[in-house]
Amino acid sequence: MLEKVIILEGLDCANCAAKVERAASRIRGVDNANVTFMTRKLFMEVEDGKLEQVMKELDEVIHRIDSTVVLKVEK
Amino acid sequence: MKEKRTLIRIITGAVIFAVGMLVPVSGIWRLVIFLASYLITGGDVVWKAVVNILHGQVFDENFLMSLATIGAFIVGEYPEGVAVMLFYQVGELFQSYAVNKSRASIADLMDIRPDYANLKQGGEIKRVSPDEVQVGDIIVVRPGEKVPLDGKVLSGSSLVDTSALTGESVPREVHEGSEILSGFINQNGLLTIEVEKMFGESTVSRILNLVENASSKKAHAEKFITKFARYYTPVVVLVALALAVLPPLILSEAFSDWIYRALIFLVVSCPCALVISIPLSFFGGIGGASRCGVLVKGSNYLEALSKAEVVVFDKTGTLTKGTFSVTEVRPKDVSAEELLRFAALAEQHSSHPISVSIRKAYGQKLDELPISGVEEISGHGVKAVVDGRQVFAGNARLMELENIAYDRTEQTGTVVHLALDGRYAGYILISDEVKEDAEKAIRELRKSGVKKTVMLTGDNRTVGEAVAEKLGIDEAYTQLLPDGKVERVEKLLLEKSPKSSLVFVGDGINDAPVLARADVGIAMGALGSDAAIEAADVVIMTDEPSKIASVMKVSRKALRIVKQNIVFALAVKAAILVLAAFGFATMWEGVFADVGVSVLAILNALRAMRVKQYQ
Repeated sequence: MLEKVIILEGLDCANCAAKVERAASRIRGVDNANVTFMTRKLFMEVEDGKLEQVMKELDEVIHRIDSTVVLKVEK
Repeated sequence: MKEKRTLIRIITGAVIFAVGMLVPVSGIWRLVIFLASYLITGGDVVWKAVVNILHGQVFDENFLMSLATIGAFIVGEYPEGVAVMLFYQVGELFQSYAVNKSRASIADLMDIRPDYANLKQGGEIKRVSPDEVQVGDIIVVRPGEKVPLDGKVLSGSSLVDTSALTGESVPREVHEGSEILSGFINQNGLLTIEVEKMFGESTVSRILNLVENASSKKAHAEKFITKFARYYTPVVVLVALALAVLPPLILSEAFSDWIYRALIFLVVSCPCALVISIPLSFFGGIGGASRCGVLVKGSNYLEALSKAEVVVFDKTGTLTKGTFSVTEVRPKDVSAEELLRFAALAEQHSSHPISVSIRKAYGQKLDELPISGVEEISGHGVKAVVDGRQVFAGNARLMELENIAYDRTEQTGTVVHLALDGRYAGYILISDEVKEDAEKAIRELRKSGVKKTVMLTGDNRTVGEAVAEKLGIDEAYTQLLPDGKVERVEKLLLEKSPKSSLVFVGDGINDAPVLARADVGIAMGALGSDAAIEAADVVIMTDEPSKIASVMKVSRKALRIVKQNIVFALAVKAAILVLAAFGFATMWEGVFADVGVSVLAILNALRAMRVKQYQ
């Protein structure tokens, strides 16, 4: 398991934050996805070796929810 | 920049809207004017709705607002259509302003990140990034600068402002040899510091990390609202659809009236007010707590604190200072100072904590004084000749051994009796001092709704129970081993009422298992203790137990606001929906139930950050 923190730049609707959280937790290989609207951060645990695939899917689903959000990896 | 552009668009749209309302035009020109106003204010919303539908997102707020307003145009209610969009945009703008403002104020509050360090290398001083400084390097901090890394003062003395970390307004004095932490602000003297920790390990980094990731653990209230929002919108939209189609078909009435009612439903269908104001309240509460010098690691802990029914304290280091000191001097036929002086002189070569605390209480230099014949009587005390007088200083057994009549005392703590030339001269009481604000802390906790206070200690019964009684603590459990403390907390957890929570307060060093077992584990005096910061859910930076009551009040205020907002928003929305269904509400009321409620809930949420009265 790898802990990841992703900054969701431009996320400015609280309901979208909830949607992003739901969408992220549905991605295979992601555990404990958690979006904090106030700090615009997504916390998640990613299974080893799946990071690349997860990030690709995450980018897709987030843009489907709000096309103006830019993803930045914090750690 | 983005906000400014939106504002200009809203104002332009509003002006055109006003023209449309005031100038008596009709027919196609009326439509043109209102349509222009609509597109200027809400064109982007419609565009986003279209883009999102293409991505398969249907029930989002852009779509609902577009549908409601376009619908209003279709049924001929142009002004309503524009007004709904106009207010929606104003609401959105206000929302992003409020959120940004509260983000910024938390960032200000935590404006402790040092930008640079003055590294001293071979007589030269270089300005470098704090990341580049190594352990063992020498740095210089000038007056007015932030201390960038944890270390030890090599030379210089100064007053440092610790308020950013501790909420403490009185500056702390540092001098050669003092430990100094990053995040302090040097006020007046030049300090040379030997670095003891890398920047990433320094206090300031750890605290920033903690605060920035604080709200990642969500409270029940937050989870409830996101879940509610998930079902609320689709349900309201489906009802709107039914309302638009079924009554006209069944009652064979005109469609336009029922479509108008359905459109009001769409306007009210956005759960924005709740979804935004609840996390904002929690965030404000956490920010307010850190302003008091208390770090709360998540909104779930803030929620649990507000429901605290039982507060369990560890004694030593939490309610008491954990250091021995003279708490009473009771002389007989001599002055108190004389008594202390003789005791201090007789015990001057002993390194026993009791002797150390007597010398500290005497507080004057002891060298070059006439003393001879010092002899330790193991397990009893000491005998010596001071100023030509025979001194015996020790416990009751020493007095009995020497056949000296002494005052028996029931005092808790360690008693040192003194005899001068075979005559009793009084006693000195040494005990672990209760913290100044411990009594106030217990009183304030009770006032803020805590039903039971409990003290756990490894100390003996007399000492423990005396402290508990003095402070007004309900239950005290003494002579406990560490695992006994865990067991006791588990019992207390079973006894409390199910929806309330149990808080444990310790120094965070020896009580990690108990901290983990409690609903909320609070570590005290954590500044500089990394282990404590890691182990606890709530971290009190200073040594003051009264901060527990402060943070509890902050949490209750935040939760009160959360409840007010939930009840207020749901009640208004429900009322308007019912009125709309029966044809008693217009789109104007719908806008109020959406944007108006949002703005009011946000204004209410912003109050959570104001904690001046609790500091």
